[in-house]
Amino acid sequence: MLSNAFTKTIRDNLRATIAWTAGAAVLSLWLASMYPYIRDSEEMKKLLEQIPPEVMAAFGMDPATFLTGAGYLSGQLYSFIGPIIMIGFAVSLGAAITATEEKNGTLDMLLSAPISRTHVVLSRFAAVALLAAFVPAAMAVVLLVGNGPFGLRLSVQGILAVNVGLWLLGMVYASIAAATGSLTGQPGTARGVALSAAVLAWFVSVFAPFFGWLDLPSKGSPFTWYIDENPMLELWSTGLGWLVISSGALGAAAVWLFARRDIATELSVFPETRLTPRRSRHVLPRSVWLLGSVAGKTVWDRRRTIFMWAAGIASPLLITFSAWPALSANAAAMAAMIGAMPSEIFAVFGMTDPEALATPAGFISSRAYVNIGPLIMIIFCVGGVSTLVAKEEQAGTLDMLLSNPMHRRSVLGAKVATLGGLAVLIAAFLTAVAFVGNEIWDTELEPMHIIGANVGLMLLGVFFGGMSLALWSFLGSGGAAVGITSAVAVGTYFLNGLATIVDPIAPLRILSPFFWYLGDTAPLAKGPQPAYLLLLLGGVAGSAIAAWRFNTRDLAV
Amino acid sequence: MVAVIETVGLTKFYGDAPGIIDLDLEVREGEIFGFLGPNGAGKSTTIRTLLNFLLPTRGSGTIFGLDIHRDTVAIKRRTGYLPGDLSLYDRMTAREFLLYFANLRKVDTRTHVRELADRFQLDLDRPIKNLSTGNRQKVGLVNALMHEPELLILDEPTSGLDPLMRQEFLDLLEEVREEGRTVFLSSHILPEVERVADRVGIVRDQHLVTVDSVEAFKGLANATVTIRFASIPDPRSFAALESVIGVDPRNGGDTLVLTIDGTIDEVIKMAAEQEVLSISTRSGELEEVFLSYYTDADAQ
Repeated sequence: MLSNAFTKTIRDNLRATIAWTAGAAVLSLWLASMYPYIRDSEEMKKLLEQIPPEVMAAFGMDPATFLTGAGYLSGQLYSFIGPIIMIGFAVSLGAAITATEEKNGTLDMLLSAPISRTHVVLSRFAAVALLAAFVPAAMAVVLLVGNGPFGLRLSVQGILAVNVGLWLLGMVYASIAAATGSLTGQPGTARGVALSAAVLAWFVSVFAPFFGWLDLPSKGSPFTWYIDENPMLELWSTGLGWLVISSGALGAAAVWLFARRDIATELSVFPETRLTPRRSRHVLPRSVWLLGSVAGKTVWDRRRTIFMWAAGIASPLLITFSAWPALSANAAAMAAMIGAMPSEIFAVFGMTDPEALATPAGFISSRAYVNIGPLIMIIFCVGGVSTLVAKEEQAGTLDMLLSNPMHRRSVLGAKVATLGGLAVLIAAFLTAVAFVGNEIWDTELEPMHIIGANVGLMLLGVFFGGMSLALWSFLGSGGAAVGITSAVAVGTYFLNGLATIVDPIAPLRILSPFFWYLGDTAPLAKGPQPAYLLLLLGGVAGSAIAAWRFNTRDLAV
Repeated sequence: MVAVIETVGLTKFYGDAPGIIDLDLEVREGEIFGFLGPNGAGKSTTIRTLLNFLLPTRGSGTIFGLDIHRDTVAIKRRTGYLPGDLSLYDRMTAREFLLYFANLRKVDTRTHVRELADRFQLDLDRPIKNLSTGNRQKVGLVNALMHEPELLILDEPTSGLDPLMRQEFLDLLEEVREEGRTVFLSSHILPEVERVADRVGIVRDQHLVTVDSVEAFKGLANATVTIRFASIPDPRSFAALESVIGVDPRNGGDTLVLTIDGTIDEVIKMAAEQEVLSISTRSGELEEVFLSYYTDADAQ
């Protein structure tokens, strides 16, 4: 496996590939196995008759196809969660083509071998393409095998087409990460740029029906190419061609940029601006007051990115508010949202109160507080635990930090409390944004409901942050903790939705943190809930377990 | 002499793998204690256990008479530490890093940081990620020294330093000792230990093999005399001498390399009976003693 750059890349990423592939396969299997219950659910049929067709349409559910296997899987698996898994994995692979090694300093060693830079990038790109294919391949196998037993009635062509599309979608963002990494040598920047591009493209595609000026941009969005014509039904579309062309072009850019640059030097990207020191000697930047304590340093670490997180979580909310007038006024635009939206919201909101779907509280919750909001908030909290706490142990700076006269538990406590404080700040900012949106677009939401939704959202993040903290304290590995926590989050997310329809798993619903957060009512249609206390308690318990364990174990072994 | 560091049967296992076994160690106030051993012998495990990063499997230890586990915070207040595998916050400048750690200690170290940075010629205002290995090491050294701790625990402190900086650093350690402070110096660079250390402990295969003063170790080392004769001498006559413990004929037999334990007088007298072309002597070096310990646990 160590004979060349291609096989070495495969070996390096084997474990991660197995984890991502297994996750995607288990999720696919689970969702597919639920299909017979959905199809045969009397409740579901009754509900479909009850809901006005235009509301169904606005939420991406076509009464004609929703109960078919293709419609169900397109909505549940291939429009939101599937792309998240695919892109998340592909971007991490793409950033590792050159940037991760450049930052770690092993790139010099690698390039001291008699191989060209172009050769390195190309062999790794090929390895990444192969590894990325494992995720959709596993999903395809699950659907091919489950097609008969679960009565999905999918065509083999359709299964292949949608999974090839998913793979190509991932490759576009892997290529963006690779090209950015080639240019900057910073894996963090590479991941950030690629993921931001993905979120932007998703929004452009989903909201194009509401805003005329988004029509043109949406035609250039990889999400439109991927999902615009339901690949499970439409088979091979021209969109797939665009995905191939764009990932190829971006891959070529990665090769070209990497071959023409100084490697692993501070002067690599913009020499003329970096040659002069940024500040004069003996002058500390203003942010230096943060370096007075561990808590301050935790903020210092996030002093730039916190604004990106806030913007990242607030913009979906604002866009959703701004879309409400169009939605309420224009049934045609509502209908145009077909296929672009995750339909698990149906299960979450539709069962007990179908009319809520057509209210501002239901609609805005469904966009900003059910999927993308929790996604970003959970990533912020879980990722914060990983980068601000667990990474110190892995990077080896924890020894240095703890050589100062401080107790382990106070170091951990300061970091965790600060992280929680930052989550509160983001939630407060989000609340303010919601109040402004509520005023501007006349959505007439109750102030207490706005506060309640944001408190719940924050506590959901706190819960999963606490879980990953506890896991890390036992495993000693931030990566494993994040992986397990993410799997639990995705699993319980679907558990909450599906348990409303699928009788055998109905009793388990109360175990899902998403049930504590969402319940049977949209977050914006209710005030702070007693169940939110469970989220808080979970987060606190996770932190307490971590503090106890962290205090009594060997570090960095 | 007061013991600053004292361990009794200190043992650390990583699962089944031994880190250090039954360590009985005493480091006295005001001395520079050299802690020597080959890679993987257990030096860093010992240090990380002393600092409570690792919990002992059995045995105990005290620093300043305080328990290394229970009183670790009080110990660290009076201790400066340089890890063997140094990791720093890459995105900070050295000045920011040192300020942060001074703040965590709640002491103002600005004057000392400036003095130390001048002495080591360290640019404090560059991001740490852009510093060379040697310069990063200097940041770690300044951090260990800036609050003038009573005890310095240094794991391979001179790695990455150029010869000039290494001299500067060793001078500094001697100043630290003159002030009555204590240094626990883990190293495998022997000339350096020979120069500054008062006493030396040798670890090998997870065990402390021996502890003695540097002078005593030097006494253990045997001198050699190389004599070239005009004609081939009889090696047996030299081997019969009381002070000669080894005879090694070379160069077709006209040259003898003699290992001496004791006085050289009778060797010279016997050699003078023949025509001598050249003679050279070499006094015993610490290195030979250490190598014998490293390679053979039963030596001495």
